[in-house]
Amino acid sequence: MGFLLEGLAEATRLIMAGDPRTYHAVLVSLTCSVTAVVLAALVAVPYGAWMGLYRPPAYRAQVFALRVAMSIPTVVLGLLVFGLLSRRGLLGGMDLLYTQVAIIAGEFLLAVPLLGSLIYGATARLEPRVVETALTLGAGRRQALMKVLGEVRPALVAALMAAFGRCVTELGIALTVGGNLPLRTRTLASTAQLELSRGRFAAALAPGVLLMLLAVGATMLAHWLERERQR
Amino acid sequence: MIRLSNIQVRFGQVMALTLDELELREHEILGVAGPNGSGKSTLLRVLAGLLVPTAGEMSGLPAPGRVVLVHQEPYFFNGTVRENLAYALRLAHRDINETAGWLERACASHLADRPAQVLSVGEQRRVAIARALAVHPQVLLLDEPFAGLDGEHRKIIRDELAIFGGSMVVAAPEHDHLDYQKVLTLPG
Repeated sequence: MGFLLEGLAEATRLIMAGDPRTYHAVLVSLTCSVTAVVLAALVAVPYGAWMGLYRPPAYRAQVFALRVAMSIPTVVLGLLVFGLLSRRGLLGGMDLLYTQVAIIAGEFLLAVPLLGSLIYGATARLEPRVVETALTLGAGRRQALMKVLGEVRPALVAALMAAFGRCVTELGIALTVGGNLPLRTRTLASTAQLELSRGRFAAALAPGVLLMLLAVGATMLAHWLERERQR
Repeated sequence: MIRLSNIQVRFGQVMALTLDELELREHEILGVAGPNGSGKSTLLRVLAGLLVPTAGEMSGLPAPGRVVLVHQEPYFFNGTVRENLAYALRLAHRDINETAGWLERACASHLADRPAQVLSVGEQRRVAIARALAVHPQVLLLDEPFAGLDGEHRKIIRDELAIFGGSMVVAAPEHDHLDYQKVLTLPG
């Protein structure tokens, strides 16, 4: 216990000291996670809602595929993106390997099935009258879908938070396609892993504490936004 | 004129609706009678364009928004009564300031700022009919609008509907006294 408390105290001191590498890792983690979640939401939220509401042909197979994709380890996703972006890969000419774009691409693949599956679950439980009411009042299918998303807003916020939490804490993608380059692609999770491999527990704990603060901050922001909307 | 012939709606092994013929002319009020499970609500959903029949032919159905269905238990979106009416008006590209007038017709002005999902059954039906009328439909489809309501609510709804000049299809006409031109009885 003493070891952990000493580590926490040292981690707090390191955070307060304002190490530029650590704070750059915060920036990289936030930039990559937020961008990946926003891009994934643009695809996965309408897709999940469309499946939940309109039950297109073979939607069960699609939901199954999403759930399988959710369980793919992040390191495997990293390898997939690596295969695409490496020099001999399909997109090798774009020279994106070991950049933040590569991390965003991997985290995008991580967030899409999670968001799609959660939004499908939220909208599939809605009774038919919800979408029927919008449609019968003259909404187009896209307008009805947007209206329904408003009806499941708490579930939508929870799904976005879950996706953000998954992306900001993941390690496999950041290491495989980010390369853990200092002041370029080093994230909080990969910083923690690196410092621990060097045997510096307190230095590894500092990014861990910052990750926790990010998660709590994001959750508080979501709660605040929801309360403001209800006023 | 809307014409449906040899309509069948099947959900898996269950036949939800069989209908030989239905004609609905402009300004006509049609009652749809029949026991529970005879397919009255299913027929309204077909007419609303919300359900595609398994078999049969249909012609003359107006576009969505021109034919509006009011469910027996109307659904209201999150928000106030006023916001729900404003949503319908926006969809119909009408002035949202018309909200007050429609609520007044439904004797529901006092409900304007109340959360729409906590209204009583009678209030819900009155407001839902106001919301449907606000989009100026060509055809209004009402699923048992008077069922379980007391005399006061029935009178308000009848008064609301009196101003409507389009065609109307009403399920379970035995619950009320509208001036039906004809009544279609679905077999059980």
